[in-house]
Amino acid sequence: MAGPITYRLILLALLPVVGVLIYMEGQKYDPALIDFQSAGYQADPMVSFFPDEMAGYVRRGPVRSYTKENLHEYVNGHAEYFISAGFRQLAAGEYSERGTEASGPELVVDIYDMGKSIQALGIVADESGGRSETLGTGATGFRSGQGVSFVKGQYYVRMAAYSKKVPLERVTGQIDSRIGADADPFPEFARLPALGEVVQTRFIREGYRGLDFVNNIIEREYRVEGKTLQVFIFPGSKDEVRRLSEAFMNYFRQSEINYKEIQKKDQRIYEVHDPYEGDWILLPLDDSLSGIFGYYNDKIIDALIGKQIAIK
Amino acid sequence: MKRRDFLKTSVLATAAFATPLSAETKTEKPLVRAYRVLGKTGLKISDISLGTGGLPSASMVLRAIDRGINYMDTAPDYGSAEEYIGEAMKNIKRDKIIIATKFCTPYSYPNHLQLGSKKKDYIKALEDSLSRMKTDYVDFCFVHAIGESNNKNAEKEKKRLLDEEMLSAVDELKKAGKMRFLGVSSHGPDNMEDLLLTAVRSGHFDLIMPAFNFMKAPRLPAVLKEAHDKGIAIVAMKTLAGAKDMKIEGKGEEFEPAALKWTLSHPEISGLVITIKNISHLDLYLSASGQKFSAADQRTLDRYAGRFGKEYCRTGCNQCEPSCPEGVAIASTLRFQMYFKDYGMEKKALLSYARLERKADKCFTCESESCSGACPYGLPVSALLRDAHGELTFTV
Repeated sequence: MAGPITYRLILLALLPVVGVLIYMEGQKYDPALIDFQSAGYQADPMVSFFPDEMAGYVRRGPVRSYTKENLHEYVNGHAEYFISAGFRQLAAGEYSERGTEASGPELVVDIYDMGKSIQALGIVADESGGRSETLGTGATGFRSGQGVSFVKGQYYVRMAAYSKKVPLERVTGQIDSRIGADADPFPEFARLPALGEVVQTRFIREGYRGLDFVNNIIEREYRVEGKTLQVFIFPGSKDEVRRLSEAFMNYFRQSEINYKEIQKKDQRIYEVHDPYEGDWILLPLDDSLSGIFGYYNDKIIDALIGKQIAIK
Repeated sequence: MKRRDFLKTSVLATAAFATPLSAETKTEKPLVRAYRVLGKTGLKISDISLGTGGLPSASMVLRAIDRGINYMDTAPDYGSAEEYIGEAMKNIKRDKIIIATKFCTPYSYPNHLQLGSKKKDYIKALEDSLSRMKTDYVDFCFVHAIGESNNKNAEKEKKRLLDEEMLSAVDELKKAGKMRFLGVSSHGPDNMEDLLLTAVRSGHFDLIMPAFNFMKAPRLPAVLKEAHDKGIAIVAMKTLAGAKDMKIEGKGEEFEPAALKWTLSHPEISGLVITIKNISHLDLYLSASGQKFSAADQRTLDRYAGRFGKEYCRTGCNQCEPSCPEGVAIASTLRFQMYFKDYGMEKKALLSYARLERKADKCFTCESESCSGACPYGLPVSALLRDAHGELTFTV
């Protein structure tokens, strides 16, 4: 009978053999193990957003692409901000006026794919300081000293002009139409009721109306019967909606803010008597949380409830 | 002074709503605990007051007032701040509140009226502010940001400070009851102390608002003393010394009150303004109101200085700038980066930087690195500038 020492010696002798076998197996290429197609990025769709020429300005060289891995090479110091906001890819193109020999580009177009429209809107909200507007093309964005930024579906477009001659309105229109209608629309906007004249639509990334716990809000301001009101929507998951509803209730209790529970259209709504906001409406449903600040009446409340139920 | 006297009673009247709330869930909110006299004006302000850059809503104004804040500092280029004040105005007892704004336009930061502006420009700027704020008058209007970059010429800035067109407009506006007092503010970086001293000695100004914090400009205390001796009020700003996030060390809750108490521990200071964007800010900052600066507070500030002393470009200082052969606006560049990173005011920072004449792009090709060692506080100037340029332009 072989003793334990014999077994140990046999196992020890086998170790180099096992090692060689593992090494040989590791050298075989198995395409199922590494799917380069899924890890890489299909750049073509975004390249098509950049015309060879627009409004007399010709593209200089190929469109450059950046992913999460190398975004810092282009937006040094700001890459983390974009990545944490949902960034997927950046495509950048440079343009100069046809027939000129400018040493540098006169127009730089950056298109960021932020994954979701709401995330792209968040970038515009941040960078416009909350003062985005509806541009001539109908897109939401803002003009800065030397350019235009706007959101189109999940794309955040940032155009910087280095010459006053660049016709930014026309260029905006061309890029906007190139991206086209297929870009992820704002599904959350479908929850906003048609109440009257729309004054503006905003995305508030954090601290809505000074409430620390209320972030990522879409607000649309309307003018109805000569009065101004704001409808807000929180576009979150069921869990997020539940947590936010609870946070509101805690806030009401801690701040001694009274509210009244009302049943309307078989839905429970709250009429909040707020010393700082005046009276307002909070409508927490299973899968959405919305409300009305400023002016409201039964018809307006019904329209908001009706819209939320219809989307459900 | 009863704090709720500042609001019209209708705001706080509670309706007999059906859902009574349990008293046991109520939490005590920090309130203003001290009011101080604003020099010869005789007005009394809350020691901690409302800075309205990034103000989120009219309701935030009312919350601040309900906590006892009675002084608000605003400007046409602080987003929608003046409009929100206007929206809140129907619920405010106007004569109980002190409002300060700036000779400025709302279009693009920084748009403070510069030398060469006419009397009518100053009058229009203030009248537009009054219209936005739905009020007949402001208590203070400031010649703002004296000594800011692009205005390196001290003599030119002195002329802006004492501009006849501006002073004539002020006379007319005062006679018309549209403004009561004149102020001047400065966060440097160029000649801050000299320019403020000029204002103090001119006899035209009732209030000065310098950047003043525990990482202070060395000559500023002498300016404050002279102003105080002449009965000129002093309200401090930029009191958090860069407002770096101390929470990374688990000490965040202590830092801000300590920094505010340090500023308020100077008897020359009537009060300070600080940006308040949400209820947490209100709770945190007001916890310092009326409180004494303690040894524990000093230790907190020492920790902050140890952690961020080599990152924070001292507001009001520009001692390193002469060392740069390219004339890069070092202090302003780093201040705009502070607005971007630490204050969350991205657009304002980007626009301001875009308007600088001498940006830090030159630092990427600079071979001399002559700014190395030029900062008296040991900041690695060229590395910070390259980082700032990247953030403020989105490119390298």
